[in-house]
Amino acid sequence: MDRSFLSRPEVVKASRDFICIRAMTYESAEEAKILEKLWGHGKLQNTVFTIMSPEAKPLFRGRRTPHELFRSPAQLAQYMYKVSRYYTSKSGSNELPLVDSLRLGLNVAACDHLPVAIVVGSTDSQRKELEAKLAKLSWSDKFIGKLTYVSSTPKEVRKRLGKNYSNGFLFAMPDQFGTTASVVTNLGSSATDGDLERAMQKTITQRPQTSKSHHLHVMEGKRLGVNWQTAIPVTDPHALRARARRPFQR
Amino acid sequence: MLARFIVLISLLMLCASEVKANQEKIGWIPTLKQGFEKAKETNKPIFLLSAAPQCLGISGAW
Repeated sequence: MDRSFLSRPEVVKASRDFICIRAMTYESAEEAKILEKLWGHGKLQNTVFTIMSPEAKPLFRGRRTPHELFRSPAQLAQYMYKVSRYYTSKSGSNELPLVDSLRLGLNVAACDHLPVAIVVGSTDSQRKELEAKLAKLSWSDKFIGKLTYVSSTPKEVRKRLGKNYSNGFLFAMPDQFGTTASVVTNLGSSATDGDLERAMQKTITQRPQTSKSHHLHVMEGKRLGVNWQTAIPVTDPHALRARARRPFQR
Repeated sequence: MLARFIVLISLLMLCASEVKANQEKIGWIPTLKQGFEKAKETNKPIFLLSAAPQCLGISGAW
């Protein structure tokens, strides 16, 4: 994923007037059908980028990255401002931006070098109640985009993290490959807004956000036998060719 | 001398992590369903990116 545009302040500022969706390619058959339509020219690629109206009508055919359409982050931001001025936005409800599963959430958090906030609840209604407590903070200026959020059961949490946790909130740092996480703060279900805010603040400053070399990351993953199974087969021809070769073969 | 050097490096690392933590980021919604619903509700346009959270089968990297 191209991060050079997406971390630029002018693009981040412009993004506040958008609903920013980042789907996980190959992790949902249902989403893949929509993404393939948006791509519009052949099989689904690893990355798809587009900008759409509020009714989800694409303003242009899907591209792999913003680079393909915009010469610079400033040009992208300018386009985004023009588009956002066209629509009169309304305020909406704050829902916690949940990744579909703990397994996927840990992976995504590792990809982003971000901590993960895990809502733990034995039943749907318990989880919904806890999610609502965290939702407003997750969209606040202080924390927007700085954590990955997942909602899960104690059983699944035990399976992934290797320890028992009762209903409540876990703030954790994923390992390098997103296969597990180390808990930084564990709060019960009666945690107050102040408790949650302090825990989130502590977690986001917990460790330096060093950038690891992509090449070394993949080599080490291969050496350790890491093997992520996608929900549906990969169809990007570039990725398939790379998989067919031995890694880093010259 | 060494102790001072260690303290200085630790302070620099702490500042770096605070700076990184304070850097603004895009607030992503991770599913199409939730995102499309929120766009309809708020009448905001959509900035959509899909990416694969693995490389050659290795998780933890886009």
